[in-house]
Amino acid sequence: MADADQRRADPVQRFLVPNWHPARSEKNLARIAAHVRRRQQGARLALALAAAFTLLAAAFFVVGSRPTTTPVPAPIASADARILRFADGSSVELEGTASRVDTGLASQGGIDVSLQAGAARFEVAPQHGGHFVVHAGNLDVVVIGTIFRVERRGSRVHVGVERGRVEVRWQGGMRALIAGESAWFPAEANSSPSDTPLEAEPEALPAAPLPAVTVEPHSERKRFVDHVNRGEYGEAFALLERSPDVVGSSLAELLLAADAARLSGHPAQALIYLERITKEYPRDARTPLAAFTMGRILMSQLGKPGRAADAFALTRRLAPRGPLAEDALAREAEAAERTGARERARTLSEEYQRLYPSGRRLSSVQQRGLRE
Amino acid sequence: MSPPPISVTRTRPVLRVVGARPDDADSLEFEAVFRRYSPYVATIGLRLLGRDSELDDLVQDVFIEAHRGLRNVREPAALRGWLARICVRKCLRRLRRRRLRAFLHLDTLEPNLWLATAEASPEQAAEVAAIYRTLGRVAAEARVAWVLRYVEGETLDDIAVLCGCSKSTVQRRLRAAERAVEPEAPHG
Repeated sequence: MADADQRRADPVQRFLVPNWHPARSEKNLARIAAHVRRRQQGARLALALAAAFTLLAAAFFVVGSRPTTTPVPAPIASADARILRFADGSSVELEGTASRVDTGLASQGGIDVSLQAGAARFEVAPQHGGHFVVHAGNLDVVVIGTIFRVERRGSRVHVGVERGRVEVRWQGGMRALIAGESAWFPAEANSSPSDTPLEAEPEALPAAPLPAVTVEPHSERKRFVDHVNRGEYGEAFALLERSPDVVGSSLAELLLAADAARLSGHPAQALIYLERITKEYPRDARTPLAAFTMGRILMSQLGKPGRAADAFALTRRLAPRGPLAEDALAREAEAAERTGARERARTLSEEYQRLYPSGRRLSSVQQRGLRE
Repeated sequence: MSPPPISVTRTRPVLRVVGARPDDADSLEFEAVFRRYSPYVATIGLRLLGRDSELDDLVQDVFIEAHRGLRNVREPAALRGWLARICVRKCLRRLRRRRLRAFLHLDTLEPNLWLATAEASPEQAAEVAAIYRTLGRVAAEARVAWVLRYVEGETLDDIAVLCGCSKSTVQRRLRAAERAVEPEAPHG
């Protein structure tokens, strides 16, 4: 058991490290200094004013986190009026003539953009210690280093992620989307929380909500759906195990069941539902994502690289030009290498380099292709 | 009134201890302690809390308390462990408060998916988030024991000192956390 715990702790050791840069350290030291000063100098008015002044100066000293006198990032005029670029490399591209964004005043901690109408594509540089937030109606899309698209249609908002991750927040709720995922917000009362894969062309986005999972009030099925919607995956899976018929055969329900199993720590069971999706709904737009998720589960959680390679190959067959195709090809090459199929791995690596000469995974794929 | 433009100067803030020992050496000593150990405290704090948004407040709380008791620390070698004890105690308090606030729907136990650094692949970031999602469901004391044991690599005896409890209590808390974490371990 200790070995399993240590294995799970390994990525935390390697990748959970605070961004404790000197400016941040100095900011905190200044605040501690202010606190001690207030405590020790008492309530004399002159000293209180001095402390307040010192606090203010310290806030200006640290909040910008800049080595020189520099204004906060603000949009830079672009030759193309539809594209706004920020000094940190982030950009906002408006789609269509009716789209409008309001950048307002960039805050000291990051950048806030308000999508007033239409749609825009956001490419966001990693925000070290800061934030990049897109406000759309009652929704906040909080991002860290990613490419995503936000569209307002009436009272609803569609968010789709091409690269990285975003958190979509609203009062009383939050949902994370990863690369290849998209969803409508707010979800309607009876609609499934299942994802729709991101399509490359805006016209391919669904004009209607996803197929609803209608349930009878107070039924076990409703309880199952409610558990999943609230992120209570353990409870949802326990219900699913007790009563497998809480989910039917619709794709939306199978995705729910797969989520409940996967996110409650039952990857093998998740695989069962995902495989059903690939067999029963081969032409659905969401099936490539199901195949891709199968590949990830098989590779990382079940240690079956051979089957993982097949799942990634299926992802590409189902959507050869879809948003997951590049990633799936790179992962298929990695999986092939892990099975010892070096020739196949090299062929796949060469295919990746040919199809994606500027791909995100180019360097790792190139290294794989050079190994004997 | 619009805020003035943000600017940064190169002035280093100096903490003056006015009162009992208005000696510049004291202020410089605390600064040196802060600069040397704040990264360590921030690291433990982040791994215990699982949230960067609370880190600045936590580090300030730890060192404000440390400032009060610094003159009582005789051995420089004891500083690290002493600061860690303060940090663990404050994290426990925050975690218990978070669970209460989550129960009242004033907070969430869900981790930030981008907890991991930019060097992590999406899968590795997902593993980190998954661990903290699991840890969010166990008692604060069990969570702290697990993180100190498996992430920080502390011995059971040291964890007992850090948490201010007996070794058998640490073992019991660890078992509770291990049962929650156990369902799967990453393969391949």
